[in-house]
Amino acid sequence: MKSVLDVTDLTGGYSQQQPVLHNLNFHVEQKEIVGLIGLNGAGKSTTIKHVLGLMEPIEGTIKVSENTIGEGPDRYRSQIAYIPETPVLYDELTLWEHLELTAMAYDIDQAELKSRVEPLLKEFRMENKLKWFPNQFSKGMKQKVMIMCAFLVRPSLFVVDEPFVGLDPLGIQSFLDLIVQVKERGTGILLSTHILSTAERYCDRFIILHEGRILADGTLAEIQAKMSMPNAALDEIYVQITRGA
Amino acid sequence: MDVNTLWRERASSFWNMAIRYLRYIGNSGFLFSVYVGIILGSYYYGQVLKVLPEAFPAAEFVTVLVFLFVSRGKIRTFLKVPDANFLLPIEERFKPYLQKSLLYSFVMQAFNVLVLMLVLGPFYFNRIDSDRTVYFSSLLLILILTGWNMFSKWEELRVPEGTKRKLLPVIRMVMLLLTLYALFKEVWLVTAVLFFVLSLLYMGVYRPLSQKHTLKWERLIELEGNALMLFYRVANMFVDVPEISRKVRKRTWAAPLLKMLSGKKERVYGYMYTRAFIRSNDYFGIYVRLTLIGILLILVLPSGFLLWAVNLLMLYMTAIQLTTLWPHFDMKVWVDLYPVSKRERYDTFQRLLFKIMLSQVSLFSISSFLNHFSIIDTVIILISGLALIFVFTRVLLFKQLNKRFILTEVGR
Repeated sequence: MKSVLDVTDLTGGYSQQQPVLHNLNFHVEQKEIVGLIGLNGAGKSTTIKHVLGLMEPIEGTIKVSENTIGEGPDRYRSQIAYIPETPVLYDELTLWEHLELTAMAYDIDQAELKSRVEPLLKEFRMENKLKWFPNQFSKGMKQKVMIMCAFLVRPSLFVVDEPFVGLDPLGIQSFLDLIVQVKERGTGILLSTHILSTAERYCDRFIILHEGRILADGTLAEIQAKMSMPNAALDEIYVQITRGA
Repeated sequence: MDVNTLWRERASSFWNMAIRYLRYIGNSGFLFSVYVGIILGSYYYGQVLKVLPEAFPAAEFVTVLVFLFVSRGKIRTFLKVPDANFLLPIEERFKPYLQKSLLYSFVMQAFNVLVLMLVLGPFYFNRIDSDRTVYFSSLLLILILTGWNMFSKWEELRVPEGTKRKLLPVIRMVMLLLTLYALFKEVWLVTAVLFFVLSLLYMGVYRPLSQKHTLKWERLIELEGNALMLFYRVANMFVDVPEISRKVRKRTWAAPLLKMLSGKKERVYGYMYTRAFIRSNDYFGIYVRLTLIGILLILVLPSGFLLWAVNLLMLYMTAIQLTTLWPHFDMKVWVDLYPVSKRERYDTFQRLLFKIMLSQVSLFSISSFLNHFSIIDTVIILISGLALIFVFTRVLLFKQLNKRFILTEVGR
């Protein structure tokens, strides 16, 4: 399988004197979901910001579909769709205008937009809220807006930061179904979360991040073998690894 | 998507909002005090020019003053927080938007510098050079310098945190100071050389940064947020600004003040309000700034009516500003659920405000004594200040809060 995200020897963080990420190496291939697992403050969000090109690596390289951001930010970023942890929306734009804006940013034409949006609206039960403004939405609905905007795009890499918080159970299921669909289409997905039971069911591989370092990575079976904890659930392994570190 | 239209929409929506607030400010009697200030100021200006000793370091004085204006380089981009999500894929196509912002920021900055130079005009002709051609050519060079600073700073913003990020502004500041000094000292050869160095620096150091580093969206959005907050905070001196957001700083060094202000028997409201005052938003910043301005004015003003008036004015402005601390916890539901009487909230707030203001009037009295060594001036400042504080906390505070909030439960 072709890899869509290659992170090589990444040392990063806001300050060069105090990096928060140390020498990370990982990749995401087409048609796979990679779980980025870690405690609060482990460096998940910083890793994601580096992948998005919002921060510059202190050392190391990041490639998305073989491109670095230095070779052209727009080409690099048009390969990525991103769902942030906390929904950030424009107060003065309606739900429909958010979708339209996203379509413009990713060069999706009107007809295409309409055909892609309809099933999404239906899936998330937002069909009759197209003219609503963000202040009329609950936190979960705002999250749904961000999710729909991301699924509108057909990128090669999907970056998702803690998507389950604030979503209702149906919303979570819809989101997971769509993620699986997107995966089947050939997209690679980097999913950051600490809902381990869900991660265990959906992710093909895991990266366990602790204090800015990768403590373990691989499929569940590989990590189980490495920790000599056969049949242990991801929760148990995770607790074991981070306690030991 | 047309980013030029986007910029125009954003800029005009900012100005629509700004004009609304400016109108409030105009109606609040502030304009009147500005007129009085200008009239008094121009009178004193003439007097000062007459009595200023020959040895006064004119060039140094103008250099520092102009430097403060030229070096600011405030960049308005009108970016919004969601931009870092929605506009990321069009960073390259976004360039015209940013160029417009930069041009706009330069025009605003240049206007400020122009006004300053106009005000400094009489001083310049009197002390530095009476030749108009020299004045206008210097003005032109200063405007170029303003632009240089702004464009260099813009490129600098791309550099990630680290030594380079700390070093570049220092180079910029040193170059600005040197060039301005050479300009006002009228050593033309040196000025020409410095301008040559400036252009080399821009072409060789600052400009290439844009090739090497990506745009730092989060930093730009934060800068824009700060600029907007500054505007809101100024407007907040006159009207309630709902957009003032809550920022928290730790200020560990101020921890001893917590004990002093909240008193021996610490109760729930005292506990919350003192912490909010020290750490949150910029209540403490407002207090420190207004106190410093007050001390500075009291240290330079001659003894007499103006001195006494400034003392009262600064105290009053601080007190009014600090009343915005009252609703700080209004959105936190659990505060209303505490089993503590509402009356106690008001009393605690009143006591805290009194203590804060007491510290300010003490500082003002001490500065006045240091300036004139006159017991009478000091006593007038202390007594009139205390009277103002007393009236404010006992009478005006209630009226002030009652205008904006429901105080029925306070039980007065």
